Amino acid sequence: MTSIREFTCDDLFSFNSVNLDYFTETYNLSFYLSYLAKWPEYCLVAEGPDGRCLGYIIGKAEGQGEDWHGHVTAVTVAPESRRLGLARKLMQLLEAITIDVHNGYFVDLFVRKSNATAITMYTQMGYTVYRRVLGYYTGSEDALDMRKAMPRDKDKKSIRPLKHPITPDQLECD
Amino acid sequence: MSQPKVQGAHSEVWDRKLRPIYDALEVKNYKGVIKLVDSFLKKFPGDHTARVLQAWAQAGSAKTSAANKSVDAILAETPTDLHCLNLLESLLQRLDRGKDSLAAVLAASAAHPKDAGLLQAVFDIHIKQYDYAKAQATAMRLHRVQGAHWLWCAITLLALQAMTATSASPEGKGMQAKQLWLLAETMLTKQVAATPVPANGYSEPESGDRPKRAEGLTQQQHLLWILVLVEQKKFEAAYQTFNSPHGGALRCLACDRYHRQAQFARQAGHHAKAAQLCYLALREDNNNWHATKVLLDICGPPKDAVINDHHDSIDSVPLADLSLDAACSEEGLRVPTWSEACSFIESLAVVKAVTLPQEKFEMQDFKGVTDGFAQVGQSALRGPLLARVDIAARLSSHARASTSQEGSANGAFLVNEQGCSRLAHAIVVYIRALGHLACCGSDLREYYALLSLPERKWLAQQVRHTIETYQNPPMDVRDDKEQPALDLFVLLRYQINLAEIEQEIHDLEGIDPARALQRAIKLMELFAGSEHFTRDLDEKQRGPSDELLALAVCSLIGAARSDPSHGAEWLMRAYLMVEAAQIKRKVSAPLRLAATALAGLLGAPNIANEQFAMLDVKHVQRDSVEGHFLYPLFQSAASEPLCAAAEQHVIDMHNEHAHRAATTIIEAFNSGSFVKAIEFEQFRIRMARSHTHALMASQAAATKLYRTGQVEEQECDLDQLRFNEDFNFRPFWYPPHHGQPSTAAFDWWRQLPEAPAAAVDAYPGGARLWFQIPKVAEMEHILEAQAWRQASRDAIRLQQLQTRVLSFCYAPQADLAPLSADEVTQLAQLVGVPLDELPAQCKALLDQDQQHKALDGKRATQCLQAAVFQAAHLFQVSSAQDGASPANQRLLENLGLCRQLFLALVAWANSGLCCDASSTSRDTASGSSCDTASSSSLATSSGTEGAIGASWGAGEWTWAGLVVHGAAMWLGPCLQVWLRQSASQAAAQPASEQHQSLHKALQDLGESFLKGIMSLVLALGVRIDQLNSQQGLVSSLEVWSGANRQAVFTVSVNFSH
Repeated sequence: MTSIREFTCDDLFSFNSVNLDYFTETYNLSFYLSYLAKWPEYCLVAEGPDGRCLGYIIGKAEGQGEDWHGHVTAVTVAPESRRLGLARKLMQLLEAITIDVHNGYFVDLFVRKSNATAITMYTQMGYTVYRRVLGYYTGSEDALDMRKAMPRDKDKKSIRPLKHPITPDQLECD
Repeated sequence: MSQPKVQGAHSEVWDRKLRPIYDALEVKNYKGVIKLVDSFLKKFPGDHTARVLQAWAQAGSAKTSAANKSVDAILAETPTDLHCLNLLESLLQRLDRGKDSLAAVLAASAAHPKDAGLLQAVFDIHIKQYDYAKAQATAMRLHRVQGAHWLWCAITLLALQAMTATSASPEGKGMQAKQLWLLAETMLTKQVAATPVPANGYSEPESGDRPKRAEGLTQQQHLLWILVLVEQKKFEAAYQTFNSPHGGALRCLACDRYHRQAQFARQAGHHAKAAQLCYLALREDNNNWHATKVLLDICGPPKDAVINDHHDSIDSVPLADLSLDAACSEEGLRVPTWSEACSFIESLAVVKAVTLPQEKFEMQDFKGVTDGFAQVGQSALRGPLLARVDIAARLSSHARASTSQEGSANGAFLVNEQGCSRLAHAIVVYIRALGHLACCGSDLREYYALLSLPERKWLAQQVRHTIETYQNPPMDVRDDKEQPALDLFVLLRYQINLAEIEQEIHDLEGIDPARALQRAIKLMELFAGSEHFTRDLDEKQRGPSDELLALAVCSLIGAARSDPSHGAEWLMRAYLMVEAAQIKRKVSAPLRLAATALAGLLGAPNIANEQFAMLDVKHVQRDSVEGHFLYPLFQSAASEPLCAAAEQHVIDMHNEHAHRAATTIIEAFNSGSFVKAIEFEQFRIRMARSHTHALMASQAAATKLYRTGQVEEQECDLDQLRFNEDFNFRPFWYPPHHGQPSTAAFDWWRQLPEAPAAAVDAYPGGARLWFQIPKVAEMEHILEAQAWRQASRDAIRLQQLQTRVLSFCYAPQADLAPLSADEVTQLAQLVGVPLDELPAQCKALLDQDQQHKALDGKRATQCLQAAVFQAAHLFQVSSAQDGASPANQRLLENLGLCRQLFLALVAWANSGLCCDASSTSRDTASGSSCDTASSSSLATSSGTEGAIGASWGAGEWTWAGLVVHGAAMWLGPCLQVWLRQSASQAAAQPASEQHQSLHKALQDLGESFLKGIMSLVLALGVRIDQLNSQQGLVSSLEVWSGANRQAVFTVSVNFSH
């Protein structure tokens, strides 16, 4: 019913069924092309039976040493295709790539503190809150930095939560 | 002078002292920069970087010649420092000496031939100039200095050259392309052979965020390998790469690896292997739609498939008996039969241990839905059940094709004794099982289109029955505590599905206005009644019944089709309904889009703009969304500021990408994303050839000419245009417009009564309108898309030719190429009236008695445009001649003709609105009459105040408003040009008698035109001036007559629930 394939430049012309939704940000072309150039394996599209874009995920590998990890930059699903497990499936693929291709220690993502639906889904998928980032989003909303340890992090050191929140300028990879 | 070497501690001093210069430059303190550089040069004499910064300051303070002189001096010394060269490159770009930067870098590289940094700078510059041959040669040199990465770059660049050669001249350079592909393959094969087979499967970070290159091929290298083979149609070899020791490089494509491999296997003729791969893919994920389709394509329905097929096959295939297991085993590999493939796909749900609804519908069918089995279970049903629908659709198409070929009644096989086709039956099963999912409607819409009207009716009846059974289960079921309780959410979703099917039926049958209104009210009541489901939902989330809003709007548009004489009122009702819904759904994109279109069609471009702005459309969406959705509404309303802003958005976005495109390609090369580098180049070309961009550039050039008299050269190969438009989100009732954007609203109104018939002819039921097909804008086999593209090209061509004609008027002394005879003929054809026949036609039209009443709006506009065009053409001819000439005489005649036509149009349009309040009838060519006052209330309240509004309908409003708007967009600028030109001629030279006549004629025409426009704007005043939302429950709209600001009627909608 749904097919997952790599994200291509031409998808930028046809992802409006997803991106016209309020929750999905449309970035400038350089943003997408930069991700496609550097981490093509992390950019995937969920395509409907008629070729319609149902959702996509964009991510990257970053960090050094034990901080080497996969990062979910954007994961979004068209409103009418939600509650089908598509986001979950895309996330699982990103995790698999982090393990198989990059051998990362963990996968992390940022989510609005108020986005209870997404937080619940990530929690069900095994993500835990690692730290809070104060005023990360426009409008000064805090972000939750959620992480899930990958098999390489046997002791799950990467996901031990920090005791104190941090500010955006204290982020390592941005 | 040689550049001093700066190293170690010396480098730190150099760096520290240079920093204040950068700081000063950043704040544009150019004097400070020059002073600091002078001081710096005393310590580091002749330092190139400092001198480049000084030249920057000179350029910044408008001392261009000094800057150029400084740059020349630096270039003469052949700077070799990379940082300095980068600075110099930016400066040279600013000084419009981009070519010199290549020379500078080449000279530096020649001085240090083994300097990899300089070589890469040369490579980058070649890429920036899209000179892939030279970039390839540089990559080969880099390969010798820096290793294998650059050889892969060289192979990629060979591929890029081959693609360019093929696209530039598919025939002439075919051989060259072939050789380039072969060379790429040869190099690639050697490179693959030299690459060690990977020991482990991953990359690790070496430093920063750049992963260390792992052993073996990377995914991108492998994909490049496949691409080179596939471009040469070597599918067998492409297929075999998956089986090579390097095949593991594609592990990160696990999600679609089977599908890709199956495609190549199929193209290579290995159908059995392809089927096996699909089989494996589906075993892994039964929702893999690509694999489902490929498997069904391979196994294809045999001629007797319809006869042998049975509805109950889904239940009759035990897993153990699946012969596809045998067919797809390594030992007995063969192409499965159609029956085996179907059985296998249908059984996938069984494999996932999910209970399927029974063929004979009973209460227990709901069990799967209502007992809350896991999401995984639900989505696991989607693939197999939709596959079942798809199989039925294939059989249906197959049977229809057989029927048409044999002329027999084979179609009868489609329908069983209950009048139900297999397809309709499969759809019912799908709805019963998955009707509670929001995607159900969109999953099935494609298949609804294949059903006949009786089939749809049967389908609606079945869904209705489903709802009734669900609401009123039999007593024994009711008493059974094991049975699930009534789930209101599921019930709601079934009702929505029923509404959607009924909408399809109405599309076929039509709907009378009163029923449409009742239907809209019913849908809105259902929507209002479902609001409790959103109690815990974020207001920005999609609600569970949002489709009902769209269906209600469709219903009202359907009423407008049936009752075009009151079309504007129906649209206003629809607008108000949407606006009321927006109280609850503030950020719903479908509602914003519907409101935008409705407001635009009602002549309220500012409101349309406000609605659209809430969607925050930006960047690439300017190209794919705004250009076709919003811009024509602005153009139709002749809103120049809004048009200009939209044009600028698109042009800026394209300019930005054009500026950055090469950098993205370089980034792809640097990251080892070779296939992406090719993809980026194709994307760059696609953007550069964008239809939206060409349209906006053409319109902007025309506007610039009209406003400033400046002629702008336009280079645009219309045959090469690319259509990036995404139509997918457009409401059913707002199809893409064909042709000049300025007539979009006009044409929508004109075609309103014809729309349902047209849709039925093209697509049964209109369920699957052409523009709803994803990515349809560039599809070759869709006739409507072809026609739309051709009309779009013609619109730009017409705009370009008109602009060229007018440019002669503005700048007759400029060295402009005159229009060729072909172009003149083309222009006349695009206007719609053959050049030779024009005067006679226009005169005949004007000679009719009471021509303003008999005038057909479309024809009038056409003639007016044609007359104006011919006048412009003649003016072009006459401006090249002195004194009296036959051409000038004809010009005078034509200008007179224009004036008469225009006045007739104005009078005619005015007559449509100036009937007084008590008028009860009005004779027009279309035969429409003035109705009694009518209520515009959607639900409960309000009525008509004043009476003019009562006579409104699509006909009047359309002709009066949109014809003139459309004509104004075209005619206004022409007149401005003529008046200006005429005035300048009169001032510049002693006026001959004919010139004086010409001048007078132009003035008369211009004044008539301007007065006419003004009076129409005042008289028409058809604007949505006030939109009120009170306490979140009631929306109202007051429409005013422009002249005396008297409300002509008020529409309001009660949306309380």
